[in-house]
Amino acid sequence: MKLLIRDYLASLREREELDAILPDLLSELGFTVYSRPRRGTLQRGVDIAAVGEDDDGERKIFLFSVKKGDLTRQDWDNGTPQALRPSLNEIRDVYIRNRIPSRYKGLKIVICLTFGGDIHEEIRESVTGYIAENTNDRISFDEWNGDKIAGLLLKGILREEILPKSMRASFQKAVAMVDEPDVAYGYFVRLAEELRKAGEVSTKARVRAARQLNICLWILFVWARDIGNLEAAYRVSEHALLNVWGLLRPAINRKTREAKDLTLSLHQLIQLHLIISGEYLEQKIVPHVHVRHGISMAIASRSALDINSTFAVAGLDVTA
Amino acid sequence: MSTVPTPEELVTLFQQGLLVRKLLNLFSVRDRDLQRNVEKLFIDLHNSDAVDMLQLVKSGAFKELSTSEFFTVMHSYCRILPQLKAAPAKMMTCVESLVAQGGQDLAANLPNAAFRSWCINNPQLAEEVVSAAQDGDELASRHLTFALEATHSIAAARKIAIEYEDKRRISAITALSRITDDDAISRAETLTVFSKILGSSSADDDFNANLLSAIAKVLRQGPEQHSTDALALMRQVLVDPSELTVHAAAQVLCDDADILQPEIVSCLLNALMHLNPENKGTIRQLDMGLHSLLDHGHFDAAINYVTAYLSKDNIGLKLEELPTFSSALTNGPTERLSRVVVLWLLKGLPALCDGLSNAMKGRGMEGTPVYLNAEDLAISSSDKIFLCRKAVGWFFLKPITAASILVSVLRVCDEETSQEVQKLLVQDLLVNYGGVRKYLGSIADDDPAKGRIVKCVAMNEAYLSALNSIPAIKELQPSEHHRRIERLRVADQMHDVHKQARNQSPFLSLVKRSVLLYGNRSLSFRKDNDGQLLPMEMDLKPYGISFEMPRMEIVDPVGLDYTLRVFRTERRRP
Repeated sequence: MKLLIRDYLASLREREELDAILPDLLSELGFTVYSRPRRGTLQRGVDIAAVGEDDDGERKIFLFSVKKGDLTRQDWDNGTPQALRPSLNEIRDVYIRNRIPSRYKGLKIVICLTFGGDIHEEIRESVTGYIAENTNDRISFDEWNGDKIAGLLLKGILREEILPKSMRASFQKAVAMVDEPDVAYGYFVRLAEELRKAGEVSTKARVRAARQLNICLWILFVWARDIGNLEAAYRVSEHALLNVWGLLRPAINRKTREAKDLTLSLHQLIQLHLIISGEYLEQKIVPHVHVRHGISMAIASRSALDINSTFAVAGLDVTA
Repeated sequence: MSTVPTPEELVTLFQQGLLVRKLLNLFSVRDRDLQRNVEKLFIDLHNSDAVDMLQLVKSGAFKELSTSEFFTVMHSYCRILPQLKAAPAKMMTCVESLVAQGGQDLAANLPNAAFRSWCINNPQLAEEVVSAAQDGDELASRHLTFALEATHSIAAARKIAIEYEDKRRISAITALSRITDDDAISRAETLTVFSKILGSSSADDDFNANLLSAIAKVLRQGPEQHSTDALALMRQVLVDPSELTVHAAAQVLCDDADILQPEIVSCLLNALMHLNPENKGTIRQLDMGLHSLLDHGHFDAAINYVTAYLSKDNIGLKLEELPTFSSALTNGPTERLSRVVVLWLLKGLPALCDGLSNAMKGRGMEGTPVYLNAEDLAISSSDKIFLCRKAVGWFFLKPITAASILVSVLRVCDEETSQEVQKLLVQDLLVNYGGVRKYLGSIADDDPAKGRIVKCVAMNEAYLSALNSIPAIKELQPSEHHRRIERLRVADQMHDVHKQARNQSPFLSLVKRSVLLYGNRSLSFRKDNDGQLLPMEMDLKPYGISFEMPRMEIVDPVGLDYTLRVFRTERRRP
């Protein structure tokens, strides 16, 4: 399971894809996320900010600067503000001085270098040197690589108490069979149904089930994208969306925190569904629609029924 | 091999009522000389009053013969009857009984011919039949035609035709149609008799039909001298014709097309517009008649008739029911076919276009090319495009034929029209069939349409290249599970088709079927006449037929169906 999640984390293509699950992960680990990733705003190097207990039991501020995949020399310091090192400098120079909410000003700060893969050995020394030079009584650094995040996911939102063996098995089979979309769909649907039932126990359970579904769908999508067959991800994303809508419905018009979290989860799932649909349509279908009969021939079937069904699915795409 | 019994044994069998089965055995022998000897033996036995061959026909054992047994015996009887001594009434009763037992079979009337021969052999007795008929004897009246015919009693026949208004008149008319007149004066006299009796109160459908046949037979004997009179008579006979008369008209066309004047052909075809499509016998005659018209210079009349008749609403007759005519049309001179293709496609009526499409059979299922003459294509641009759309619609499953029609138009049309025709060629034919491209490639470089064809092929090449550039899209492909279901469905469908084909095969109903599980030859044995086993060795060879499925049948079946429906049903603006 951990391997599966690590591979997923390493395969994320955009920084935003990691951003999408980290807040949920932190929330489930007991952190209070006070700053989420936003586009178009100046975040001074911090993608996510949260308050929680460190391994030593002390309450601290965690500032995450997120990069996709492995941390390479290019990602570490390539002379642009998007590299990690300038981001860390900006956190120290600007964010910590000006942006920390006043209620957390007395807390120690952990700056987390976050990425889905590993640090390349060629820059290990540079990173270690940077951390040693800039660590002091108030500010420390931590490395949140793919392995650590996978471990945290398994300890947190995907831990066995809330994602028991039967659900894990369904999920693992869905991911393993992602190139056989019908089979993968069947397993994922089973997982989604079980999660929804588990969520009906309490309001808190609803939020957790929605987040679990979101993360599971992300993992499945990234795997599907890696092997070049998005059908299962596309179909299960519709199903997941409907299940989360089912979880949200009792909380509509409520002002509670859980209601807000559920709304946020639904929003995230809609975003994910649009990402998957976009990838499916824009990458796979649209480039060929100008060729007469191109899509029909790409189906590679000798049965008119197959082609007909495909256009039925395409019709749903357009509607979606 | 049967042993021929002695005459005494046969007499004994006759007396015991067992002769019929023996008769069957003896008449079934393959040795023709032996058969003839046996028949002569029975003639002698009958004429010496030892056996009554005429009485035998009325026996229960004779009535119990199966159909095939009956006809075996009947054929011998037909050779025996003319030689038998008998009173006319007894002979006629026997003949009538044999005809009745023959039922609807075409050979059932053979005993009548035997009776005619008997009358020829016994002219005095034949005259007794005529006299008896004139006296009102029912049995004699029913055999009057044969007696008149056998005795060549043309004067008596004319007299009976005029004097009687019942069935005897029809018998006399039939006899007149069969007796050859000696000269033109005699024929004119016969036609005068027909003229006199025409329009009498007894003129029903049967009468008209017989009279029409009789007029035609007289005409055949002197077509030059009697065309005008015959035409006048036919016009009267064919006013508002009923079914038998219509059938007779078809028969005349079939038998006498070679001597008919165009006016007479026209008169007969007008009558045939009243054809009831359920009368299959008449349709068969018509089919032969139309074929005969094509062969004897009445092409326009035949085509105009078929066009007009099949254009009638809800007629229910299909061109396939005129197979001889259709075959002569499609396999005859290309100029004829060219005119018909253009005429019928421009008419656009399903009965004509569909019929033509089905009739144009070639060696392969893809159809054969047709060459449309430039004179036939001297039509407006919009008609040319309409013609091409109809060709694609109706000949879609015979793409080479459809393509050849479009190519014919491309040879003679202007640039603007050619754009539309090329579009049809590319988007509807080349897109569907690789075979069309092969056909277009075979067109000679000096063909006037070659330049336009090359453009079409280039467009098709671009289309195929674009298709080939698209990678397989995994997401759109059916799952292995779906493919397996589809394979099972196709296998079931093929199994059913195979079963149906076996049931419909004329060969499998004739031969014993055996299944070879392995090997490429079979060896069986049969007994020869001496009871020796002879080996029969047969090498097995593959035999198959293939055809190209239109690509759109899979890619866009609904779109294809819609396009073809539009092409087939659209009409020209009046």
